[in-house]
Amino acid sequence: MALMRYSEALRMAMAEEMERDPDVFICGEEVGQYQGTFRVTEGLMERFGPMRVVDTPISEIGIAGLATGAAMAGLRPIAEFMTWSFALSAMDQIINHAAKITYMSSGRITCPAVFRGPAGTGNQLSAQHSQSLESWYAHTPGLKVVLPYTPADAKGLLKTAIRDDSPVIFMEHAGLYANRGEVPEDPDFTVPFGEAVIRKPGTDVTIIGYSLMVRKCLTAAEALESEGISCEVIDLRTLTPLDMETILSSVARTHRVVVTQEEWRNVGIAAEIAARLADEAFDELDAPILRVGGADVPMPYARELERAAIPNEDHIIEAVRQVTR
Amino acid sequence: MTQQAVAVPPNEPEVRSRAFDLPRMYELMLLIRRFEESLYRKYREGKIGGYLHRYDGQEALVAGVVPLLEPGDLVLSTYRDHAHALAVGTPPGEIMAELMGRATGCAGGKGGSMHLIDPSRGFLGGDGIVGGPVPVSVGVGFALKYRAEQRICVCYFGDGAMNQGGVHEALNMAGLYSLPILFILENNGYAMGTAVHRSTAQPDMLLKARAHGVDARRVDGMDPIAVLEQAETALEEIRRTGAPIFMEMTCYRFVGHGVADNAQQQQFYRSTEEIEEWKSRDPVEALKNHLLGSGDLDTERIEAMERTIADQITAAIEFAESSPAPLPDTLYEHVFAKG
Amino acid sequence: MAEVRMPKMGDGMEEGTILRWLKREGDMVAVDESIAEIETDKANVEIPAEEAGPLTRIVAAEGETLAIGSVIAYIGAVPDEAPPSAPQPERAPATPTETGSAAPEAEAAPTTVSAADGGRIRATPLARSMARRLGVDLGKIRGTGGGVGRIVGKDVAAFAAAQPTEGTAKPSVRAEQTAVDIPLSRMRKAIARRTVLSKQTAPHFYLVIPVDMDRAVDTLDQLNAQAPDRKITVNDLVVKACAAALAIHPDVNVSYTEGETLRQHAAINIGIAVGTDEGLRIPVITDCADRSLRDLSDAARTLVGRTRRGELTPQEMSGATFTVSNLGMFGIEEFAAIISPPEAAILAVGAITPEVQPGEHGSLVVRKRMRLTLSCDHRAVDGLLGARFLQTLKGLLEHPVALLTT
Repeated sequence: MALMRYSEALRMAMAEEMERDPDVFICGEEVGQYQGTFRVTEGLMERFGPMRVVDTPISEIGIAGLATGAAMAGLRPIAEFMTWSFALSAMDQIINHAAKITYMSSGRITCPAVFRGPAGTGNQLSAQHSQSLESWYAHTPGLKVVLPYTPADAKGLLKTAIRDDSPVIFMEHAGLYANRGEVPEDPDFTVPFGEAVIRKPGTDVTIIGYSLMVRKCLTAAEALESEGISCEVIDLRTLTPLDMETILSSVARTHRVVVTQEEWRNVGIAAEIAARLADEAFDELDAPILRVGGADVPMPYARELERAAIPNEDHIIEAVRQVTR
Repeated sequence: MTQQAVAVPPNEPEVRSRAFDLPRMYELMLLIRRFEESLYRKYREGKIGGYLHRYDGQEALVAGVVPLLEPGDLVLSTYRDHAHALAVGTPPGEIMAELMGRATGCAGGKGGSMHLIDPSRGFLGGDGIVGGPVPVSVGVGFALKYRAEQRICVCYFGDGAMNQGGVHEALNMAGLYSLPILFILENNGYAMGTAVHRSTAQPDMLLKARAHGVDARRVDGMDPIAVLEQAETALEEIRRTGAPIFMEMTCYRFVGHGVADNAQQQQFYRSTEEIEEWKSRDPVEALKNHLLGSGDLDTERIEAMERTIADQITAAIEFAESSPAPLPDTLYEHVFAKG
Repeated sequence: MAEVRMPKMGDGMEEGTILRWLKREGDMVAVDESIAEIETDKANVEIPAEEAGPLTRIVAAEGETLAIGSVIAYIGAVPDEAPPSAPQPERAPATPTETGSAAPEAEAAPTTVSAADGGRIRATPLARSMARRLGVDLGKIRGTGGGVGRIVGKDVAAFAAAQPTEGTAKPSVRAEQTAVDIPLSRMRKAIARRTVLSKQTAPHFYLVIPVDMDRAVDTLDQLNAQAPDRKITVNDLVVKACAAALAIHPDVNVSYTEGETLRQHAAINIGIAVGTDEGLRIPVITDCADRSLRDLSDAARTLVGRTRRGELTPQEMSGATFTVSNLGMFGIEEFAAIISPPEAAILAVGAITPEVQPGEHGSLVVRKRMRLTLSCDHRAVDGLLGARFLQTLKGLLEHPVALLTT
C-alpha cells in the first residue's frame, strides 16, 4: 500500500497496464508533452514514447475515432478527453460506433477502448464545462460506465477497464484528483465491475451515491447519526453494470432509500434505480424513494447560484429526514 | 498479446495476387451488379427489410481496389457496402442471409444491409452514418502503423461525407500522424438528393484533402482499367511510405440513393437524360467491351460467367431462405464482448 | 330527513366502532330511542335517535370504525348521494353452518366494501407486505409515518406484537414457536395512543416527596370507625388534599394548548386511575373544590364500582384537570405516572410503609411514610411550582384536620 493521490493512482494503473500489455496506448489532448491537463499522464510520454502516449489535435471526433478504430483493429486504447463536456462532440463515435460494433457484428468484432477524463461540476466553470453526464452513457447499451470514488478504486477500476473487451466510459471527478488514499501497489490489484461497496453500514436508510457524491453522502450520514438516524452509504462504483444485488440487500434491511447523483435530477441514474427498486423491492419499501440531484438548469456562473445548483450534504440530510419521518 | 476478432485474412491467391487480371475484375463487377439486382427483387418481395443502398454503376471502385489488397489489410465502408463484402470474399449466401435477417448472415442477422462485416476477411464493416467510418479508419490506420506491419486500411466514403466535421478531423490526423490509409471518395455527384455543387462551396475535393496534408488524386471511376492501375500505384506507395493517399473516384449511381428514392423521386434532383448519359458509360459494359475487343474474353466465357453468377445467387437465396432466424434468446447476446 | 352521525361521546374520542345495530332498516324509531351501540376508546354507549321516523338506511356496517361526524344511518328521506346500505347481519344469529339460508323477507343489500375513512388505506408497500404476512388488518392500524399518518412497517410490527391470542389470529412468522400476536383491544389502543402522545408531546419531569402519614392514618381510622360502611380510603384523602392544593396553586390546574396559551381551568376535576382487567380507566370526580371529604369519598366509591362493572359513560371519563394514580395497595413504594393529556400533572401515590427515622435527642422512631411522585408537563409547570405544590400537599396530608373541615 502507498498513500497517493487519485490522479497518481490513475497514472499508476495506466503505467502498469502499459508495461503489462504492449497493445495499450494513450491518446488525447495534452496527454504527452504537456504532461496532462490534470497531470494524470505526467511522465508517461517520456517513459513509453510518443507512439504510446499520443498527443492529439483538439478533435474529439478524431480522438474517439482513433480509439474506436484502433480497438476494432486489436489495440487497447485509452482515450483521454480533456473533460467529458468536450466529449459531447464525439457522441456519434462513442454511441453509434464504439458502443454498437460488437452487437452489430454479433460479436465478430469488439471494441476494447477506454474513454476517460475529468467530469463533474464545480469551481464556477459554468454551463459548458461544469456538468455531469454519466447517465447519457449509462442509458446506452454496450458501454460500461465507471465512476471511482477512492484512489484505490481509481487504480483498480481503471485497470479492469483497460483489460475489459467492451468500451468503457471512465469518469474521474475533477474534485477528486487531489484526494489521497491508500492504494495497493500490487500490479495484479484490480477492482471488478458491477460490485458496489458499502462505505458505511447503517440500519435506518440506504443512501446511494457514486464518485464525489459518496463524500457528501458520508458527511450527511455522519451528521444524521447525531440525530439518531443510522445511514448505510453505498458507493455504486459502476453504473453499468449496476450492482442491484447490493442495493436490494441493503434496502431489504433499511426499507428506505435516498438515491443521489450530481447530474441533473431529471431522467438520471437515480430515477433508474428508483424505478428498479419499485420493480424489484416494492414490498420492502417503507417510504417513498427520494432522489437528490442537481438543479435542472445549465450550470450558472455566480457562486451563490452555482451552490444552489449542485447537490450537497444538506440536500441529502433533508431527504433522509423526509424518508425517516 | 491481446487476441482480437480481426484475424489475418486467409491468403486467396486466385483473387488477391498482383496477377489479378481484368477478366477477373470484370467477373467481380458482374457479380456485384447481378447481386444488387437480385437484392432489389428480394426487397420487392418483402424478404429484405430496412434500407437497401445499391452499388450499381460504382462497381469499379471496389472491384479495382479490394482484390489488390494483401492479407492483413483492412477495409471500411459505408452503408452502400454489399460490393465491399463481395469483394473481400464474403460468401454471397452469408450476405444474402444477413439482408434477410438470418442467423447465418455475416453479422448474425443483427446488422442488416448497412452493417455487413467480415473481419476474418479484413472487412471491418459498413457504417450507417455518413462520414462515420473515416474517424474509425484513423484508429485502424494507427493500429496498423503501431504494429509496424506495413498493412493498409482502405476507407470508403461518399461525397456527402466531405461536409462532415469528423471527416476533416480524421483527414488531419491521418496526415499529421502519417497513417497508412487509402481514402476512397466515392464521388457519385449526389449526397442523397443534393448535388455536390449545392452542398459545398469548394467542390474541388482534392483541395479539401490536401488542406490536411494528405496526398490527393482523382480517377475516373467509370473507367475500370484506370481505377485498377491507379489503385495499384497508390497501394504500392502507401505500403512503401506509410503515408495516406486520398483518391477521389468520380462515378455515378445508376439507381436511387435507396429503394425509396425511385425514378419518380429522382426527378426532383436529376434528369432522365443525365442518368441515361452516365449509363452509356456503364463500367461493367465498358470493361466487357474492352475485354471482348482485346480478346481476353469471348461471348461464350461471358455467358458462362453469367450462368455461374446466376447459380451463385440462386444458391445464396436458397441458403438464406432456408436459414433460421436468430433465436429470441440471442437478443441480449453481444451487447458486451464476451469474457 | 335526519342524518345519524357517529357522535362524539367524550374527550379524546376521534372515532367509534359500530358494535351492534339495535334497529334495522325500516324500523320506526322514536326520539331518544337507542338505535345502535357503539364502542369508543373509553366505553360502549348507545346512540339515541334525535328524530322520530323510519330508519330508512343503515350505511355503516357492524364492526366498522368511523370518524366522528361520519354518517352512519338516515332517518326519513335518503338523499341521492347517500352511500348504499351496509350489509346487515341476520337479526337472529344464525349458526355458522346455516350459510346460504337467507331470510326471504330480507332486502337484498348491495355488497359494499368498507374501507377505513371511506378511502384507500395509506400504507407503505413494506407495511402492506408485512400485514399480509402476519395476517393483520391494515384498517385497524393507526399510521405514524411520512408526517401524513401513513402506516409504515414499524406500525404493523407494533400492532402485530400487541395482538391478543385468538383462534383466528395468525402468529407472526418469527414468533411462531414462542409468541402469539394478540390484536389490540380498543381500550389498549387508546391507552397506547394517549401515552405515546403524552410522552412525545409533554416533556415530563418528576418530583418525589415523602409524607408522614401517621396522623392521616389515625384520622381515617377514627372516621371509619364511626361509619364502617362508608369507608374513606387513603386515596380519598389524597384526592381531597389534591383538590385543596390545586385551589391554592391554580397554576397547576392548567392545560398547555398548541395555541401557545395556558388554559387555567375554573373547575377542579380530579381523575382517579382505576386498573381493570381490560386496562386502565380514569373516571373523573368533578368540582372537587366544593366537595367535602365524605362527599368525595362517596363519589369515588360510586365511580370505582361503575368502572369495575363496565358501566362508565364517556361523560364520566371526561374533563379531568388533574389525576391521581395510586398503586400503594400493591405495595408499590413509589412510581412515576404518565400525564394524561391535556392535564399538566399527575400524582403517583405509593404505599404507606413503616420507616425508621431519627427522632428527638438521638432516638430512632418508626413513622408511616408515603412517597408522592408528581409528574409535570414542563411546558406548563416548572420545577419550582411543582415543588411548592408538593410541599402544600405534604403539609395538608401531615395535618389532615384542615381537610376534614372544608
